[in-house]
Formats: sequence, C-alpha cells, structure tokens
Amino acid sequence: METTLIFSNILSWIIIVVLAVMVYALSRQIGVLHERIKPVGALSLGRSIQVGEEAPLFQVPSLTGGRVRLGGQSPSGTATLIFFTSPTCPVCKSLLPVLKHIVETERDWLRVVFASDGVEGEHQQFIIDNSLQDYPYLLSTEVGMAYQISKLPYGVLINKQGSVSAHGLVNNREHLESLLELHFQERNSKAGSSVQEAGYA
Amino acid sequence: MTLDPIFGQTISFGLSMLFMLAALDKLQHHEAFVGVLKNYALLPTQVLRFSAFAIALAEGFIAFGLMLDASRETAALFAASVLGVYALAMALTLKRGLQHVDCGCTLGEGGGINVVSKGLIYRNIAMTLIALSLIVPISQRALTITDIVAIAFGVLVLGLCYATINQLIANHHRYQDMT
Repeated sequence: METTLIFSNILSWIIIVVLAVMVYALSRQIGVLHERIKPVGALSLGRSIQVGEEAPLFQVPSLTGGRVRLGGQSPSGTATLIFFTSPTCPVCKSLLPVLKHIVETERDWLRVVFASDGVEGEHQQFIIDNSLQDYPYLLSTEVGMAYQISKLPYGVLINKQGSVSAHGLVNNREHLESLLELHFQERNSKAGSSVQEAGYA
Repeated sequence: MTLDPIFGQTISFGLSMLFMLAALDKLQHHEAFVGVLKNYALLPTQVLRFSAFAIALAEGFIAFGLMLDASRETAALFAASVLGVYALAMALTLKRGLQHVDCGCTLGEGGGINVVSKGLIYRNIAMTLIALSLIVPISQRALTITDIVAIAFGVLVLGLCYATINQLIANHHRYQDMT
C-alpha cells in the first residue's frame, strides 16, 4: 500500500511539473505573439498631427549647444527626425545605437533631433552616458504637447519642405525603418504624380 | 504552532533559490543594475554603485540564511523586509508617474521584459507574506523519502509558477501598451 502511495505521489508530481512547464510555455508564447502582432509599422497615436500637415515651427535651445529649428523649409535641405525619448525609458535606450547607425548612413538627407522634457540635470547625464553630444537635444514640454506625445519612444519625421511625412510609436528597428520608408513612399508618390501631371500637359 | 517541514522547507528552499539567483544576476550585471537603480531615482547618485553591490550581497546572505535552520527565521524577516521595500519602491515610482521604468527583475539576456507595474507590486506583497510565514518555526519531525520528493518537486513547481506569473504580468503590460 505504501509503495503504491509513494509511486502515485511521484507520478502526480511529474504530471504537475509537466503541466506547470506547459502553462509557462503558453504564457511565453503569448508574450512572443504580443511582440509579433505589434503593428508592423510605427503605431500612430498622435491625434493633433496628420501626415502631410505643416509641422509647427519651433526655435528651441539645445542642451548640447546652439538652437534647434523644427518645422519650416529646411535651410540645409535635410529631413528631420524628432525622436521623443526619456532617460527612464528602457526601450528608448535600446534604440539609441540603431538610431545613431541609421543617421550615420543616411546623413546626406536626414538629421535627428532628440526631444524630451523634465529636469535638465538628468538629461545632461543621459547625454553623457549615451554619447549624444553630437546631436541636438531639446528639452521642451511645448514640442511634446504640439505633437501630443503620450507614449515613448515616439518618432516624427519632417521632410525638407517642413511638413510631417511620417510619425509613430517606435519600439524597435523595424518601426524606425518603417518611418523612413513612409517618407520615401511619400516622396516617390509626389514624384510620380508630378511626372503624371507633366505627361498630361 | 509549527509549520510542517513539507511547507516550511518548500517555501524556504524556494525563496532561497530565488534570492540566490537574484543576487548572482545583480552581481553579474552590476552596471545594468546600477542603471536600474538610477531609473528608480530614489537614491542619491553618489551611493548608487555601493547600493547596487550592497543589495546583491544582502540578497546572497538572505539566500544562505534561509537554508540553515539556525538563521531561517531572521533571514525570513530580512527577506520579507527586502521584498516589501521593493514593492514600496515600485509603488513610489508609479506614483511619480514614471511608466516605463525597467523593474530590474531580470538583468542579463532576456532582461527588461518587465517594467514597474501594479501587478509586480501585488506579486511582491504576496511574496512578502509568504516569506513572513517562515517566522513560524518548522516542526522537527524526521523527513521520509516522500517528504523529500514533495519538497523537491514543490520547489520546482513554485519556481515555474513564479516565472509564469512574471511572464503574465509582462504580457498584460505589453497588451495594454498595444491597445
């Protein structure tokens, strides 16, 4: 009798462990699924800005020196990616190397501006820790309000004419690239339509 | 009142493993843990490095203390205080409106899945109560083979449940982020 109890006890434990492993595996799969079904492109949340609209004009001092101009016709002929970030956002930090790399390879047409709000000291430390001294970094609640940023990291791409060509929540490299792709699509469609117009003329 | 060894030993071994893994993780990824403490913004920056080291060391001592009969009750009190302090730190962080602070639950590869959230605070409160249950002395009856099997499997299953709870809290947060 005792032997039966011992073995049935061990069997029960094995079954419980197998079930527990299965429940854990299922929860992991749900987590992975959540990651995968995140919108493939950058998820647009901002309600106040629409693609194609004129970007609001700002002249704000940069923490890394000088002043940053946002919106309006770009004097250097480059598009501007405003990357809304925060020292307390782990996803933002993980995206910084990717962002730097993209800006490095696309520097002939793109510049990046970091934007945030809060206590200056924390941001100065964030700039030093992540070597962002070479990039404009602005601290302005107004800019965040203008684009109604509610979640981070958020990207807004302004083309060289000064209108918003793409914007959205950027959680990974794919989101960031999709922002730039949207910009290219918009540029190509404009080029396409002008060719068409010329053809009709 | 005494606690049957099956319950007492399962809880103390389970907690001990948890604290041991946490301590090793914090020592191994010291820099990352300093970053996490900094994000919580509760300690002055001058003491961050020292605190990161001290917390890891304290967790290590608690892990050892829980395994030994002589120090179990004291270690359980410390474990409950540490878990309670973590819950308090997370609650303060949420209260200040910081939404995306990495909880620091896992630091190395695969870390950062959990950010500070209400779910983690409730989890810690539950863990604090479990740790406090060890203040009740464990009865000294002789352990049979069935007891040892039950304790070993019990620790394993509790560990899996803990990992599942963490994953579910992370999933919930991600889901909320999406909607």
